[in-house]
Amino acid sequence: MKISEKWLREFSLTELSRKEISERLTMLGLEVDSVSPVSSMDLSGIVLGKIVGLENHKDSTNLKICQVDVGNSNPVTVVCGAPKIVEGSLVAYAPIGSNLGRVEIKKRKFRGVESDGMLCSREDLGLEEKSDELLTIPVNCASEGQLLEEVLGLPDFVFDFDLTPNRGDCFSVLGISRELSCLGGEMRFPEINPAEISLDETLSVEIESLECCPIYAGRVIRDVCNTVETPVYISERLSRSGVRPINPVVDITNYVMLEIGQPMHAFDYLKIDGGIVVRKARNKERLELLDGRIIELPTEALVIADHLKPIALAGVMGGIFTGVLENSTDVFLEAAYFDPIGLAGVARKFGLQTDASTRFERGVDPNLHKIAIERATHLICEACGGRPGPIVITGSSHETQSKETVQFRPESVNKRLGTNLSEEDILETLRSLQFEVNNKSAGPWEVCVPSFRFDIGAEVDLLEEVARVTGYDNIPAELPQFQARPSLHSDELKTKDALRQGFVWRSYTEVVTYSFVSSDKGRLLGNDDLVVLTNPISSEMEVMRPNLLSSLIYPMIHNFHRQKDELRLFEIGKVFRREGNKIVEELHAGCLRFGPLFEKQWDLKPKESDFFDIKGDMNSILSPIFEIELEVTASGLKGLHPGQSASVFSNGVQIGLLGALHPGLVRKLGLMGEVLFFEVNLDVIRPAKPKEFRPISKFPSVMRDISIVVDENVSAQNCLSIIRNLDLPILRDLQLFDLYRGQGIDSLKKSFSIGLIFQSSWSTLTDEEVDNTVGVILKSLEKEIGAILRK
Amino acid sequence: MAPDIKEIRSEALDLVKSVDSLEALEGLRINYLGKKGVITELLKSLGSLPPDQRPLAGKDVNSVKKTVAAEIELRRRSLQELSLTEKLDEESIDITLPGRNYLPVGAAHPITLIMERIQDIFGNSGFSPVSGPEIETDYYNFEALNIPLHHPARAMHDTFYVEGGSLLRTHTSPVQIRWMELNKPPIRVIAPGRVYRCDYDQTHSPMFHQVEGLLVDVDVNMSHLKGLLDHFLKSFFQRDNIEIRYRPSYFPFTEPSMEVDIKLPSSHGISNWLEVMGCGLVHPKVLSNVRIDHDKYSGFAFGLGVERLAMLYYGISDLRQFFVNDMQFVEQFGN
Repeated sequence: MKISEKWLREFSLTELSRKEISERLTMLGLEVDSVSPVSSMDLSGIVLGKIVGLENHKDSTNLKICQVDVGNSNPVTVVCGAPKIVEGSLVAYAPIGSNLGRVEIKKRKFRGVESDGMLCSREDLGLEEKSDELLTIPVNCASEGQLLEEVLGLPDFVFDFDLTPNRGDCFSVLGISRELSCLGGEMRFPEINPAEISLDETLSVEIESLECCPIYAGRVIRDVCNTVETPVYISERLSRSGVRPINPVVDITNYVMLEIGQPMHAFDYLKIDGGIVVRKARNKERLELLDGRIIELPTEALVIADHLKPIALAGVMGGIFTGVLENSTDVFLEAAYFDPIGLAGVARKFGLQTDASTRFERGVDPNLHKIAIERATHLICEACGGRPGPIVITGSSHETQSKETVQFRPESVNKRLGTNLSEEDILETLRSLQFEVNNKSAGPWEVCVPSFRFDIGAEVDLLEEVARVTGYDNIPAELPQFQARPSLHSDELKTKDALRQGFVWRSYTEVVTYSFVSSDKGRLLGNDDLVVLTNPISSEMEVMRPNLLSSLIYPMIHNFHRQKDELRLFEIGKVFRREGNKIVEELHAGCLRFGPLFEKQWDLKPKESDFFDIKGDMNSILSPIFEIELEVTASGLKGLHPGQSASVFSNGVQIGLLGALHPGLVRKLGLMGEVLFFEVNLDVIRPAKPKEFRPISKFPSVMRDISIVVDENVSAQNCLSIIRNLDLPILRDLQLFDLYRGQGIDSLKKSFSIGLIFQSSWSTLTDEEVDNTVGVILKSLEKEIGAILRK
Repeated sequence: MAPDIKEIRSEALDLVKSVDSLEALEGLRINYLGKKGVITELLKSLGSLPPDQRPLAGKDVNSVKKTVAAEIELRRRSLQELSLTEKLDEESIDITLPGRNYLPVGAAHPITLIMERIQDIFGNSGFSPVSGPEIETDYYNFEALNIPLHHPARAMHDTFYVEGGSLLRTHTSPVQIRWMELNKPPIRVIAPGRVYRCDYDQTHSPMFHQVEGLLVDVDVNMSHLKGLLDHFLKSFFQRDNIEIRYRPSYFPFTEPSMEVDIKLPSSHGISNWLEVMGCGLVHPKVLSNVRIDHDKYSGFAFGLGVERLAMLYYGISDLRQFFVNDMQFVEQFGN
């Protein structure tokens, strides 16, 4: 909310400087975002001039030659290129020698005609970013020769407040001055006298939803002349608050709202059919709003209707049909109290956050309606004339009689704030905020809350009031004391840290990608259980990623297009999928790589990385942290290379995926070469067990290499697990160290060479023992997969 | 000494001196000292001398044998040394060439580095890390945190919804509720994680990170919150003279609430304070919602903006950099 400093000082007699106001209010919880001058220029030399003569420039179609009366006897001649100059109007005139920002106004000839100064637009005067038209002042508000600053109330500054949602009471000049008053500045409220009633006409008002609209005040004013111009001080203050002036009646209702905080609406009285009904919208009712939007009203929306149709969305915006225009002559003023909850967030639903809805949703003082109508009536009659009728107040009660009372234990202040305030301090603070405190009897105080404070309903709310007025800076800072209790460092975070180190030492660089991806990317691996956002920001962010691969693709593509020919990326984060009606979140770790095995180096032969490099990465990174005994089966997933991808299992549970992306997909993504990845589900993979010591054998080990010939379709995993499953007590380790095809071997066969290491904990092994064990191995390999010892 | 022995001795010694390879030296040794060597033969021939001459002649020949053998050994050592030096000379390399790098070290992302840093500091103060789901229910994200439906504070949370009515958590505060539902005071936890808001421009990212902190115990008050956060910020920035401002604010789930600003080195006008976190005493309604007696216990909660702290810590000016993941960016921050 923006408020002019001059306006604020009219309400508050504070002696604080502009800077102090801004700082003190900020530290009181009303954050001042900025304080900026209405114009950054020195306008003290600008005066008002009246156009008394106007003719076209002979040598130009754009320029006009104006005779301007600036209050002296002789009019001055000014050449001006503004699109619209009206004879008789009052305009801003910059005389020779005055300055507009860095520009000094000098005598100058325009196509042969000498110009004695300059007529200014709002832009020229630094009052607006962009405007071509001359600044004009209604002739009934000022006269030629007057200083512009005096007429516009300049110099002036604008405070921009960033108010928190609990402080609906501060959305007005009145509200801000009230806060200033607790810092010592007295408040001054404009005197508002009831208008003299010169009309006995009233409009019937019926409230169907009393809980949503407890009070509705209205008044008819007839014979208004709305074709006049809005008084300068009103239109100026509105502009400074960021409200666009429209016509006097509308401007005045807005002015009253900014001044005292009561949103109002003015209807064109002659367009209202029968009378007012405040009710919920009926099924499929539509309303064309003042901004031209046509909305279909939801049935929870509260509307102001006449006897035929809705004419306003209550507390949000009026309808266009009954809006007050320049040529309206009879108006009906509304000042109602709408319940914050009764408005049901309809404004937000339609993206219609208006000044009115902002205030009503946060709570408007239910005692303001009458004052607001009187204030507006006074201003309208002053500016436009008119005959006001009586104010009619409809509702459950004309005033909200029972103010809220809160029980307050003064000792809770020091207990909760850690301060050392006396009861007198606390009492004084509460009273400075207009709380009525009854502290006569023993026990808790009874604190009566003013009707404008919607945010106070419990002791803790008052505690906050005491805290902020005391000043957070005056609360001491002390470290909390507590019992030493060793941290239950959760496994998940420890695992994440260790894993991150593993990736980093294995040449991977961490990325943090968005958890949402395009649905294309979400379906890379054929997922059909995606979690879909109902209000995504863009189509690239419309589903929650079902795997890390889908979001790792983004930085991969980004960097690929930035001349990175070698890339290794990893991420640890959540992935999401649907399981029936449930949403399942899993913590995954995943990585992507492409490009050569190592960077170009002077003594290493270049080598492209392949499936076995990523498999090696997976093993090296995971095995120090997790209990893994990796087994793989072909993945068969869409998006992956059919012959070079695998589902990975450990202890019989699938823990992840591994392999190369499908070459077709790689091409589609605009990448090149072989793109490799692995991804594991950290929620199912088991952390490594604490290590248990195994005695070291004192006896020498014996090594034997065997080469066997098997059918092409026999996998290495198959072969090795046959040997492992024999559970031979003296076989300490085994290693597949060669794969051979070619000379000496049938074309449909291949040869594995396996290194076997034997060792016993009890004795030195004899050749015979070792030979026997090798025999057992060869026999079972022959039996299970038809392996033959290669000669 | 017989003249022929003398001759043999001097001849042998000359030859040993002049020989320049280990192979030639070995030939020489065989020639003189081998089974059929000149000196060996001489020794054998001693038997043919008259007995009275034998001891003297024997002594002479043995002495020559010893001398020659010693000289040969000496020569061998020197030749060996010479050849080693030559060999080493040949083997010398340009030691300034770069080392082989099979696996250059990667890098961790600045966001996780900063989150680790925050966790470490609070971890040292006895806060345990915990976590919660990123897709939340309305209850945990809003309702239980004292933000009922239609509450204007909801306007501060531009919420992403997923099909079926759940939502992406807009802050890490739901973890407070989940933790307090299952654990009784004293409670000291922090919850780092991703949060989401439907807002995307130069200074807003639809996804960002927070670290939530919660302490519930007996006799916890505002001054404790200030004390802890003072220490945290000094420790985080490793500066004692950092200027910190506690400003009243509003969060439905804390009261009194405050925002914490730190002063930036530059000074222009009033806007040189930068907000880094929100905090306050846990609202009694929130404690009631998780059935903790709010007269017996009190607590405080705080929420740190990780990106904001990372930007300050590293001097990064554009928030969006964090999620583009350009290698030139990410690789700068180490591991």
